[in-house]
Amino acid sequence: MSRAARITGTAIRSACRRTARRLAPLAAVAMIAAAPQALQAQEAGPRASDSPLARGAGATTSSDTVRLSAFFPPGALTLTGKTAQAGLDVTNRARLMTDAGGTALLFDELFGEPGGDRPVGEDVAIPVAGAGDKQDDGARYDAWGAKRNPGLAIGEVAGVNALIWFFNEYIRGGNFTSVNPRSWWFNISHGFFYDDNHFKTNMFAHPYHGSLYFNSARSNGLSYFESVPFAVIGSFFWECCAETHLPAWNDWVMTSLGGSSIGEMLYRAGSTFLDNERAGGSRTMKEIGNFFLNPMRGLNRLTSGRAARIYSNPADPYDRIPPNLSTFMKAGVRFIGDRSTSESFESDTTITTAFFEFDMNYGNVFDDTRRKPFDFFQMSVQLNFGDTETVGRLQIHGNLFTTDIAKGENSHHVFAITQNYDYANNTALEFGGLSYGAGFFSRFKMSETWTFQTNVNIHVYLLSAVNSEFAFVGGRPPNTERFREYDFGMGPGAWARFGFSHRGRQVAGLFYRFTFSETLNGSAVNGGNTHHTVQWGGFQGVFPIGRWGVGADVTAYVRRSSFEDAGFVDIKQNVGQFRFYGVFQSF
Amino acid sequence: MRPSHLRLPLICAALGLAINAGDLLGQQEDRNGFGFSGSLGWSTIGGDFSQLMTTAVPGEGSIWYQPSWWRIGVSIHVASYDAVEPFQDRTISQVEFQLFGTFLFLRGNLVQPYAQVRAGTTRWRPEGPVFDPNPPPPDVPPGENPAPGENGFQGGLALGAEFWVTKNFGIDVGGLFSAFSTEEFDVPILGITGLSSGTELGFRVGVVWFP
Repeated sequence: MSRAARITGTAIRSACRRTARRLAPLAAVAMIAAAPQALQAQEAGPRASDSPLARGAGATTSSDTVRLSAFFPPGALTLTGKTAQAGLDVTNRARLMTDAGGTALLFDELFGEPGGDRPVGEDVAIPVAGAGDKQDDGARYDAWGAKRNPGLAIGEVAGVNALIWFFNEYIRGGNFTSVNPRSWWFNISHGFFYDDNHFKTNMFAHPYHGSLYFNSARSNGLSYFESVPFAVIGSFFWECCAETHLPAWNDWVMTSLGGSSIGEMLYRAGSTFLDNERAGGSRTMKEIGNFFLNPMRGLNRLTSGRAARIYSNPADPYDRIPPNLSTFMKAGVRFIGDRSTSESFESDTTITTAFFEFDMNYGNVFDDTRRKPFDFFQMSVQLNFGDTETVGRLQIHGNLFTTDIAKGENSHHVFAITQNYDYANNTALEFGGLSYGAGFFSRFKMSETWTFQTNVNIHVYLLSAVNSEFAFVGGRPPNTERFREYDFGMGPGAWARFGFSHRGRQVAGLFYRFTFSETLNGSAVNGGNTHHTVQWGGFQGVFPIGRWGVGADVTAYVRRSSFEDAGFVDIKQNVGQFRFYGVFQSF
Repeated sequence: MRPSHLRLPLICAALGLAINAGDLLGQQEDRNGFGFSGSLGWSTIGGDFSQLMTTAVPGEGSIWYQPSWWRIGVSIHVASYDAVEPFQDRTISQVEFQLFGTFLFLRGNLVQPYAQVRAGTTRWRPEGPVFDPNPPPPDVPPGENPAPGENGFQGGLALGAEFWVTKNFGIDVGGLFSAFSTEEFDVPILGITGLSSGTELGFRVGVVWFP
């Protein structure tokens, strides 16, 4: 063969491959549509002809794609992998077209490896989730193929405690780590107290610590409710037995229950970008990203081999990328009054900072067909650059139980039991807590494109923390090393939100929130009655431009602290905030 | 026959019954795999360190693997020793990480004697307001210790027996001896300096779990 012929042949093959790659998604659809009988040859796993993808494929078939399907003889094609039913990613579906007789090799030759670098000639059959483990061993596997293993979860919880204790004792040189049977008995016999850690440590770092316990269980095949006790017990053992400080009630609540909120959020967030069916560099980056987001899940995927194995994604989209998932990234500037000087909204000092906010609406409370815990949650995290703390706000409000109340042609009402984690540590507000509540969601259809939504929630804080000028005066634990700047308390709270949405995207909103915190520890001297009310409310507007948009919001923060019984003057703190930002909808 | 003449045969019979009860009852079978143990005990100190401290209540937790008539595992051992008078209400903490090998005699019986060889790291640290300035020096951040620990190595031997109550659960009773050497350990407030070696002698009672 002459050199020109070889070059021409190579160019033709290259062009064919490029064309084939472009047409791969369509080809996948067409193959399913044109050869339904072939798909019935599958012995195990879901049949592609049963999938929504296959049922709806006929309308999208073109002559080109039908011609491509001729490469796959009838009876040779199989569609494995439960995710085929989801019909979420046609490109991925293309890679699921395999058979045992060499068609897969032909497919790979034609289309290359869109998601990775699997060697040509290697068996590319995609097993179902959990394959590679002993599926017939009687054990339960979760949607991601993780074997249910409470024993390993217990070991990992103990390992988390041991690792953090080791760091504190050997590296940090902590003064609370000389644990031994005497300290265990002392702590257990003296019971719970409140500790003196920084606000950020107690209300943010400890819940993150708890998320490690939670995800030790969650990523070992246990459900949300099954995983919560691991956080509760792991936190208890830390409090009683891994430090010589008296056990702290505030730590136990925030680490275990706050940890379950953060833990489930991280688990769900990681699931949206993990992809078992992908190979190569992109798969590696996804696994690394998940490892940093959720170290315990990353560790379990790594040690079980699931991080490197190619197998199907969860069959149910609610276990991976739920329908109606929407995420928003906001970046802009905020102008805010100084809370240390503000008894009125007219502050002499205005602080200007840049901020970045990431909001996730995981699912849609009205349209979700599955309603397990946290199948719907709302998360918002705000990073402030130039404020007192970089992580200025984190809120996770998740539904534990959801049910329809009424559903009509133009209105839909839903009731939910919610678990709410709140952390705000910025110039405007220092507030945090863990609450459980009952909420109503309503949606009114105003036209084909416009809807009006409301959400009212009434909740009770198991623990709340509010900045206080006199928190240091009472209720200090033994061996206190610093003065706390905030009170711990309990109390009720409520919020109300109203919003107008255009084509499913909120463009205008009004919100108000109220919290009452009866002080349990801090400024409550000799049993005196001190309490705080914290309110914030405002309105926001977004002008969408495709996936992009510009927005602005105004918020007023109001704190009223009553120390009358303690003999101190009451505190009135009013802070205003204005934000202007650009917004991008990534999902 | 006088009762005293029966004592030795009865003791031998009881021991024999205990040792072979596993076979008789068929409860204990030869098992391999991972297991856990935990114990509490009492120990006393010797050597240089006896100038500083007296006795302790140690706790120990282990995870091990048993492939045959022997086990290999790791354990963490923590204790707080009472200081010598007049500071007897103050304590010096000890933490040891150990690698151990256990040799099982009469494996499969309800009573299973063992010999354990162990070695690892040791760390000693004074604690309490006598040894830690209180309030701490201003340059020490809250939560950090102004009296850092001293590290060293230790090795020892434990002899005992496991009494298997069920197929998966047993009681461990044993005595242990260890020797250790550390970097020079000073407690200026007591006028004690240059401690670097010592011994421990004690016993333990715990549980063994074969999941």
